[in-house]
Amino acid sequence: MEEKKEQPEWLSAAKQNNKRAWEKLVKENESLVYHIAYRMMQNEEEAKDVSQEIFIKVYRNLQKFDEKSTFSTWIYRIAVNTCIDALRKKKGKEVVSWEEQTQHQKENVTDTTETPEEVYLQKEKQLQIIDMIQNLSPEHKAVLLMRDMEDMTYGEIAECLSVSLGTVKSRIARAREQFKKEFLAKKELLVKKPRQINKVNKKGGDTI
Amino acid sequence: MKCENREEKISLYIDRQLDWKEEKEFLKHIKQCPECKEALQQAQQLRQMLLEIPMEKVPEGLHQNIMETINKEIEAKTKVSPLKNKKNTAWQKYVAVAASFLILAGASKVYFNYKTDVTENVQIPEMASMKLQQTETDIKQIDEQTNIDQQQISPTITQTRSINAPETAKALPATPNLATGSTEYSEEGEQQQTEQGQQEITQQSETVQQDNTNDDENNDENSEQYSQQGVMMQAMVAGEGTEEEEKKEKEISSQSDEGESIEDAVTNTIRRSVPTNMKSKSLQISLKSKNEQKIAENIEKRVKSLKGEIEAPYTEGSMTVKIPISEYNNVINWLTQQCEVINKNEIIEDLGKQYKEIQQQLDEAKQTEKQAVQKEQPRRAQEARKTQKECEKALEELQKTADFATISITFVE
Repeated sequence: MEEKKEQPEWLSAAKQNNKRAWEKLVKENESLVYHIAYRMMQNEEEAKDVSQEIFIKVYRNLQKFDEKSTFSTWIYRIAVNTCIDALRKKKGKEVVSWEEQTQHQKENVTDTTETPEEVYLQKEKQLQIIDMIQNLSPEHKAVLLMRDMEDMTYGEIAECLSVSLGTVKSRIARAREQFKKEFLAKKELLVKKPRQINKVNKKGGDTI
Repeated sequence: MKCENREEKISLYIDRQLDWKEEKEFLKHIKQCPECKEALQQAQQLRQMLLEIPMEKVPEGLHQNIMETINKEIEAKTKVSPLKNKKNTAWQKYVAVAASFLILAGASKVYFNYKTDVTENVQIPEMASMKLQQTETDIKQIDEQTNIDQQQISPTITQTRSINAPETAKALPATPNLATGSTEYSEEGEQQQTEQGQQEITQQSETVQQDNTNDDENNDENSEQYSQQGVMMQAMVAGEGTEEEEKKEKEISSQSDEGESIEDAVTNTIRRSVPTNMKSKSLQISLKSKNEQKIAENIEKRVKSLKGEIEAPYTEGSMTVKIPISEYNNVINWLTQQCEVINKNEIIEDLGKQYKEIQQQLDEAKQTEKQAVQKEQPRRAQEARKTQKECEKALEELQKTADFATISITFVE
């Protein structure tokens, strides 16, 4: 029988609806949750809404958490699956323009390099890369996020998505292939003229 | 190796998912195939790029929004009375059936009390009314006596009784409709209970008539049943047969009966109603203190010294304790002196009704067992014994709930 994993100290109190424990639970996990939501939704407002939805799901399902996985894996699973559902619902809806998206993104990405110019270029590049993921299917987006951005193991991803290791392997390969295609298609535009890049509607429609 | 499934092989190679044989073959192929080599390098670069993307900052206000939503969820969930979360399931099975007995007991009390004094006044309404008041006073005295008895057992119970009084008053306006036989009850199960109760009362009514020595000419069995039913339903709403209810009953009914056995019935009803004063008490209290850790330790010490129980020890600024009900006021006063009270929510629940219901169920089970033994029905007797055990256990649990007050303490920053 699978043994219970070590859990955060506030978990049992949170299960008893202790508000202070919930304060800690949210504080310790909001960054992770928002990060997933943002990467998946690629829009601040939607990421905020989905983050709230994720925490409501966590609250409503906490009693069912059997503690056989770590709490972060469990919350990650809820977060990723909620985002996949949200993206499926969103499918076909209007795609936000590059400019609109990057405005918030630019402010929120943390500094990593030295000179202002380098910082700017680095930020632009990162944002363009994130944008390239936009056209991937929710499932591919999720595995790419987990494997290549979060460096999660295949086992963790399989657990998170409740799929077999074989599925994870092929899904990651296909997601990377898809991402590579996107990257190669937009490689020429990378960093040089970021402001002029507009997103093309998924349905192959007009440029927004 | 052919260049088929190139991307998949590369992906698996990057993540070290190939077995050693496959890996060896892959590396050998890379050396010979510049396209695959380039594809591998590209894949590695892309992965590196993705890994380097930093995390986003959490937008301002998100934490607050999430907490507001969660707090709403918590409040909605914890609104339910704490007692309802307790494991009182053993007796709950019997409540539906036992409720009919309660109804009967409530009605009998009212009915018999009324009959003791009304007989001689039936023909002169004014005098009857005066006499009725006298009857009420008598009943009140008896009730007070009961209270005093109960107070001796546990002083805090009387206090809770007065808190419940407005609820009783609220139930009264429903009386006239009910008295005319209207059964507008929508709550689940109560309709059924009422019907059962009515059957019981019909039987009771027949018994009373046999004992009657002064049957009124206008005595109508149906109206009598209806008026009794009205009172019964009041009893269900209010939880206890109060003097106001009895007054209402007297206004509605104009019949009178009296028998010697009725006196006994009144006494029995009152004797049986003693546990109706049983209450459970729970308190949710928010305290503000600079040194909550120490306060929590002191609370734990005090609870232990009072032979109470620490249900949930101090964690994350909250704790739950159980203390003997007799110490409740002292402990609350002591807490108030120790730190600032921010919020206090006291929940009192009447256990008397439940106690009585189970007790009656127990009596019935005993009777059934006796009959089953006489009739040589071992299975029925066994079932009855099982019921008895469950009832006894439920009574024990209920007694424990009444003897201890639950205090949930939350420390606020």
